[in-house]
Amino acid sequence: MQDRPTSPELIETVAQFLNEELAPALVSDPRMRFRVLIAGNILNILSREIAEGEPLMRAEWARLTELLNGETEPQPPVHPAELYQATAALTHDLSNRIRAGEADSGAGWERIMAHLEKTTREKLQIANPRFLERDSQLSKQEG
Amino acid sequence: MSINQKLQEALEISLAQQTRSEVRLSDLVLIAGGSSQETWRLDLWVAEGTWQGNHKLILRRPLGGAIFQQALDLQREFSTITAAVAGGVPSPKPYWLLENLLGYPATLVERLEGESIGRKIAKEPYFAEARRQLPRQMGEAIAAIHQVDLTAHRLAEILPGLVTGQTPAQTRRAQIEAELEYIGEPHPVLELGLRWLHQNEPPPPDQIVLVHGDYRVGNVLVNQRGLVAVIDWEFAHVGDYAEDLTYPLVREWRFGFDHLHFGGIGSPEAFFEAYSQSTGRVVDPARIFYWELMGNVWWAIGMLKQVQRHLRGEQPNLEFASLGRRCAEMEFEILRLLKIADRKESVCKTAQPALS
Repeated sequence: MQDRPTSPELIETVAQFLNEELAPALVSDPRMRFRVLIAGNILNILSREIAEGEPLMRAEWARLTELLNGETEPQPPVHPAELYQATAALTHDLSNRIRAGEADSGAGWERIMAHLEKTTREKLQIANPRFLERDSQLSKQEG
Repeated sequence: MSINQKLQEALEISLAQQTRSEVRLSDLVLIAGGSSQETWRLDLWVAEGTWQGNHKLILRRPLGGAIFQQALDLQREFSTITAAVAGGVPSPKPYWLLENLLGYPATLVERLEGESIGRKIAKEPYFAEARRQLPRQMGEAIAAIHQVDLTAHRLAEILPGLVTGQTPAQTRRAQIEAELEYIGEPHPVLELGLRWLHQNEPPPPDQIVLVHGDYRVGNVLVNQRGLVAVIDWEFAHVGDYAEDLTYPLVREWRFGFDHLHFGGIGSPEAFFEAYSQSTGRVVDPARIFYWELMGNVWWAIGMLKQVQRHLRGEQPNLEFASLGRRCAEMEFEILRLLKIADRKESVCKTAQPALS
């Protein structure tokens, strides 16, 4: 067991350093400042992914097996790298089926659309939660 | 010798030949530019002859590697700008095309003062008046671009975009499919978008026009009063007018101000209206919707291509890498547009019996 700070805590610390200490010190070099903020943002993505990524991918795997094979297989792969590979393979299969016309209309459209909406929201939950917040405000305004 | 010094010396020799005069070159500085070209600023003094006097210039050189396969080389870009300026398009005046500057071609164009960073234009109080003017001004400028004579500088021959037997929409869709194949990752949302674009193709446009190909807030120079010039011509091609009319609407190019459908600064109506007034072309809402979806898919592919340049080591770059996790924003918008299309379609279907 490694001593603290834990890996999420270390990532958080470096992100804070980049965003709150280094970036403001770079006022005279806006290009570098912009890149430092990107680096800080990437670390924020990483820390969210460490916290929430795996359960989300497990759920996505289950949805995909149900959507594509009509049943949930008993167990998703345990090892994270295998789970990633398996989910990628299923997503590849889904892409081929969309290309073949399975999402053109009716129930196929509804089911695939529902899966893709959920999956895209989950990607944004990790990559850019502020985008989702902005969007929900926008939807409210538009009624 | 540093690259600055080498470039300075090579330029002085080359520009003395171009102007047939003694020249002095100062303040040669590398500035932020496109992702496939190097952009420098410089001041030039010419002692005598046609070009006598001071000139503020921009120098562009290729970096190798481009986001899209269709990107123009500097020579064709220079011809396009030359034809556009001759056609009355507000764009930096072209000066010289140098065939060989330290082993690469290079172009020199007029340096105009203005801001091009989209998020600043969309956000800063300084640009409030510009934001009011821009939709109309950009409508007029794109109208001028679409009226550029395609026989001038052989544009119809040298520019990409048309494949025999295909409409511009079919050509663009085929390009996207090829890029997605190259990227090699599964992106079911983009597949769904492509499928819709395949099944809802518009008829060919009334006319094939010069398309800027990257027309949006961020690729125009802006001052406090609004539009100064249209820049970044490397994706120019020939095709459907609706492509340029919808690219400024793409979600990414609203810079976070999502409720302002035109570039994060206003509504598209003033933009379309100015365009229609200048061209006499009626803007077809169905064609606009189609190309807006296409534009979002196109930029999603653009992001993924940049990621590949990073991942394949062609151009390792932090910003390119970060785009990989931003593609989901485009996918979210594509799904939103597809749901709107689906609602429209079901409304039409249920309305039909009543009509017959």
